[in-house]
Amino acid sequence: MEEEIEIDGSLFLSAGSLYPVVSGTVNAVEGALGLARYSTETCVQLASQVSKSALNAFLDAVVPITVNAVVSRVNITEIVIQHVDINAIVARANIEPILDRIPMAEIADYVIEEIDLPALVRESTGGVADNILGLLRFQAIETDNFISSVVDKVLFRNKTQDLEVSTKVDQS
Amino acid sequence: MTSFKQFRANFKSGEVAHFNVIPNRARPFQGKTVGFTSRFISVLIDMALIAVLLAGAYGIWVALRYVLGVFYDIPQLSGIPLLAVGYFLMWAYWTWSWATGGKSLGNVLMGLRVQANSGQPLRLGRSAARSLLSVIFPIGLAWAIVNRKNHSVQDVILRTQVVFDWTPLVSVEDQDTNA
Repeated sequence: MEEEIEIDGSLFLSAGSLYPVVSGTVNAVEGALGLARYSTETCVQLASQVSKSALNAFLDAVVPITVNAVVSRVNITEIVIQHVDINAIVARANIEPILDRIPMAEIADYVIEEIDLPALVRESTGGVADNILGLLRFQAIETDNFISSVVDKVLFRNKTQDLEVSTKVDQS
Repeated sequence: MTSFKQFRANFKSGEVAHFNVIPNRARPFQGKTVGFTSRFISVLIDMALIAVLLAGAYGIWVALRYVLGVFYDIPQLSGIPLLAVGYFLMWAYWTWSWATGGKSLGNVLMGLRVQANSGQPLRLGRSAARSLLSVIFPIGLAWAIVNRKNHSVQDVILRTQVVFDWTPLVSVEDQDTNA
């Protein structure tokens, strides 16, 4: 038991005497390794930065030309129509901003004008008074046309085209 | 069928009116001068309006006399003052109508408008003068039968004209600004 203790003690002592050397060596090696790693990292970073910017500059110059060259030789519309489900895209599109850009009032005016809504209203509900009034007006105009044609004949003058008021229904 | 694009262009240029209520067959002659018959009927309507006004005023007067107990007889009308009042009312009504939009009741019903030859609405002075001439010399309207521009004597003197204007009194634009 004692021997063992002695041995242990001697070992401990020797190890203890070696400790500064070992730790110094370890520190030196670690420092060297750290330096090496740092310099390597820096180098790699520098190199990668330089290569990246060089590559970017290269791509900036080349890609547009390339893409343009490719795109101009390809019918993109055709490709999109063939490969893209446009309905699905439209279905997912936010329609409100589009609607906000549509001139609704103008479209309403256009539709009203195209289907001649006022005429429809007049014909369907436009009261009797309106019709009688229209009749009276048109009859007065017809009478005036007749009078002016008679007057023109009596006075031997050419028909005054400017005053000719046509009440023929415009079919267009 | 005009396209929407075309319509927008026409609308911007003012070629298409906002909610055009004028019948298709009446559109071509809007703004042209009006012949004798329409104007004569218009005058008759205005005269009828004044007659109704006078009769109404007379009725109210009689009723007031009765209610107040002053007189129980129905007052006899003497022609000259009545005529004078009628003439004055007619003059005042036409002056006011033509200076404020160029349309008396008869004008509105017949779809006519009184304006200066330039197309401008009449100012109060010219409106009053035209009204006066129309009241004291109504036969002057008959010149519109012969005149090639449908001008009556009043129109010739005062450089006014009567044109077709079937737009309703309250246009859609007015309603827009009121809303």
